[in-house]
Amino acid sequence: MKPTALPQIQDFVISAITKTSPLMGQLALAESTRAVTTGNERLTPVEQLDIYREQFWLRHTGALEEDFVSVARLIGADAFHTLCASYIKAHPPQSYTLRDLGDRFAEFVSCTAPYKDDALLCDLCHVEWAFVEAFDAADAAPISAQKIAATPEDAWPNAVLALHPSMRLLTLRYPAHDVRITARTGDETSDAPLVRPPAQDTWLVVFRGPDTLKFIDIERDAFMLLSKLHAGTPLGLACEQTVTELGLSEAAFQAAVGAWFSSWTQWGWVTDLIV
Amino acid sequence: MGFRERHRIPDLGVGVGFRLPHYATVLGDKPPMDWFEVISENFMVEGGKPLENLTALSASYRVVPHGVSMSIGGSAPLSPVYLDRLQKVLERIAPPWFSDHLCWGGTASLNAHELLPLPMNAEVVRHVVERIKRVQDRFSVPFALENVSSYMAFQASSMQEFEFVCEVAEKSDSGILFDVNNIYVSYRNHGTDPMAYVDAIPKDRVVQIHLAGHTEKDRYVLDTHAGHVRDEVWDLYRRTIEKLGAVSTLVEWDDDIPEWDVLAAEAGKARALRNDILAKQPSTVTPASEGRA
Repeated sequence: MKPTALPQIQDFVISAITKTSPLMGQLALAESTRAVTTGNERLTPVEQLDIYREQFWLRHTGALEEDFVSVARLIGADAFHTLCASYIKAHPPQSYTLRDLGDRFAEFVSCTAPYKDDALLCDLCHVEWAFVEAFDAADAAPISAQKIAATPEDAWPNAVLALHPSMRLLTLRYPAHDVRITARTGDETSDAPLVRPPAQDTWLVVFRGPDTLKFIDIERDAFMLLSKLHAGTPLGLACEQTVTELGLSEAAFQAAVGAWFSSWTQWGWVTDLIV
Repeated sequence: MGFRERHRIPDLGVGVGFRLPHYATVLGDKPPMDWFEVISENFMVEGGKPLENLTALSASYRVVPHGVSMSIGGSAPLSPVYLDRLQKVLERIAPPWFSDHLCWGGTASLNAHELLPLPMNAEVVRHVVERIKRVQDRFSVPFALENVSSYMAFQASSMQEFEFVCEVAEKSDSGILFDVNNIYVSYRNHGTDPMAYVDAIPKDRVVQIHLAGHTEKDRYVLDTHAGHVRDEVWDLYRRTIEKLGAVSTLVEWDDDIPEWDVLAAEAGKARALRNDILAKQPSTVTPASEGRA
């Protein structure tokens, strides 16, 4: 059948250019392509269409390569390209921007053999994506001293803290952020294998500072409280839950929490207090 | 009254694309350049450096957004999210016009991030015109579409490319972003007559011209925006300016991006050629030789 309506033609083209292997030699496709494209004296209809197929994979694999540099370095270029092809097949690009292409990459790797059992690799995917998201997240000014001072003492327990929109909180099994730095320092296209660090529970916050993207690995107890606040839990309840879940004494918690908040404010993480 | 006159489309002179390797030079040193084009989608974000950079750029230069993902010829509905975010970019920089491509980029279930050519016939003209009108209803800024380069031609086409481009522009009352390199690439890939193309384009609808390099492959030419503008494309540009007069021109260089000085020199070459031709047209006002900064 010769497709003439635009939706039919477009469905056909998309179906062809998203195939992972060259279109030449696929006999059934050659016949249907002749009904859609004309070819010329230098290129057959299938060869014309295959130019777009090749560009589709170059463009999308290249975009993932830019966003997941350390992942590619860890498993090698060939394996990474195969992984990208599987990912794109499973999660075809739908957003208008290539920036969103990797939004399900970490989730995909975490449930795809053989990579799902590689905890460092899975951690790296999450860390890389956190940087992508933090880069262009919404802006927000740090909370003012006046706002803090003007909040009545009895309002604090029920207050919800607004945290900077760029903050991404990650619980990791490896110090994957250090591996990311190594991979992105010097020659990013190097084939030299990355050194795998020993496992080490890590609580990482990726965020955007005034000038650059930053990350800080913080202690577990502080991370637990921060996670609850990040989820919108009121301050009083978040503190109570943290004390209970960690089995901390009230005194130990009180001694630590002031320093945590001081640091968080200094880093610009707290942007508002909703009472 | 023609499109350009009706919408008071200015001649911005000769500019270049605003690309990452040059951000520090452009925003820090503010070198002379008539104007900049930005890829709209790179700035359709919530916050952070991209928007800071766009604001800083537009404080020092004239800036025009150029999109790659509207998919004006697609069969899937135009994305309201996309249009909302584009609106914010337009509000931020208040450009004299904005543009995208006369092409399609995917279906409802997949965005190929590719400037795919359209079958060129009356039915597709109607389809595209209807969608352009919806975009024009949404935005108060004049809208232009660029002729794309292509590597395949459709059995369903019944028009020449220049006829298709002109008919879409006329029936939708939109502007044309005339990409001279794309015309050359299509000539090499499809044998279309580039000079006839230039001669057919309505003078009053062209709001902007694109120049770029391309890459020779074994049996076709790829529109890579890499390298210097080729001599054959300069010849076409000369003919285009002779016909269209003082139209804003933009040098695109997106692959193997060179040092700023090399890019600025390429824009300078276009400016010199343009000014030379315009100087022979007594009624035309030439732009300043030094760009705003």
